Amino acid sequence: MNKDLEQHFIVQLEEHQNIIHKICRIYTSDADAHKDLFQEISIQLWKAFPNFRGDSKFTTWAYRVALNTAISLYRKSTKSIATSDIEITSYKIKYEEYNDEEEQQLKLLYDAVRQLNDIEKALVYMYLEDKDYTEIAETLGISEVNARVKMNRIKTKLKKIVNP
Amino acid sequence: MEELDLLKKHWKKNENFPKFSKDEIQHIIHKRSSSIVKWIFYISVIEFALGIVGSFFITSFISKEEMIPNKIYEKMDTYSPIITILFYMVLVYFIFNFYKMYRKIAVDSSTRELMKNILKTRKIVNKYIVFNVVVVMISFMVGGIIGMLSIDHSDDLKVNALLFNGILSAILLVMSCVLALFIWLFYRIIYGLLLKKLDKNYQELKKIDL
Repeated sequence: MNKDLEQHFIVQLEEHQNIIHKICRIYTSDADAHKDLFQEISIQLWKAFPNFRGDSKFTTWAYRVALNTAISLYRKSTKSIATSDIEITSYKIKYEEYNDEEEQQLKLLYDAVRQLNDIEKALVYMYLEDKDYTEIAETLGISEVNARVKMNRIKTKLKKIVNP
Repeated sequence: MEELDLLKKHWKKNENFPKFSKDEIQHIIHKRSSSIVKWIFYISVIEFALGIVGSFFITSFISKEEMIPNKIYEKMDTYSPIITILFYMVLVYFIFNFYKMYRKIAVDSSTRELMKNILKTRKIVNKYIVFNVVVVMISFMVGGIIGMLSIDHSDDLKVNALLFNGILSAILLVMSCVLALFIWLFYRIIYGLLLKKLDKNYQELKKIDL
């Protein structure tokens, strides 16, 4: 039974692992920290999996656990903060289908997102994942109106970071 | 606005991540977690254990004191079991509440709820620590007073006895204050390291929803 559950979980996680990778990308700034956070999120997901009742989608549930881990449970953030200034460019992202100017713009944007605080990152992440404000508000435990207001402020903030 | 939309366009397309295989994932999920909840749990259990051991030490130390005159010892004999029972009742209260809060911590609740529960769990143990420090300080004081009353001053001059008692009280007071300060500093360091980020994020989230 337990083995079945484990296999079931592993299949799901393997299929949806990009959810976690994307969170690691905005919350960490080097490959080591990325792997470390990925590991912690996977462990938390597995520990919480017996409580997952399947009345929501696996991905919806996983967003929550993963973001909570990155925001509240993960401890090694100081390392990623300390290195973020220097190693930000070491992050390899492929932009093959884009022209140079867009590529440059994208790099600036990813760097700008990494400068936001943990809560702002969570909002941006869910926005980029096309989550509606109801889900964003529920995940973070704030009201929908305030989630919307905050998101607008973040957009302005990002604009300022990118075009100082 | 355009900025984030450009990012969104790319976000969906870019799936260029190191892909973990099923075997690797299986390996990963059996590793040990380093989450702060786990640390808080361990440290709290150690704190409870230390509190219990400490109180055993203090009670057995005081009651076996042979230098205490019979008059005082008799009184202690009646009161100390009551105090001990009270102490353990308070301890059970703290452990029960700690356990109740700890069970409430669920990683799939909302971010705000999760952080609130972690901080609350921690607060219970903090209160327990304050309780212990107060108990230690009081026992110091009581021990000091008993000590003073126990010393036979019949041979000394009255003034000398008064001076002696005064100095002894002052020393005891300073010692207990230093001890309390030391314990307080120790906790600031441990939980400062552990909960600084969480607390900051919690305040940030609260600010959004004022």
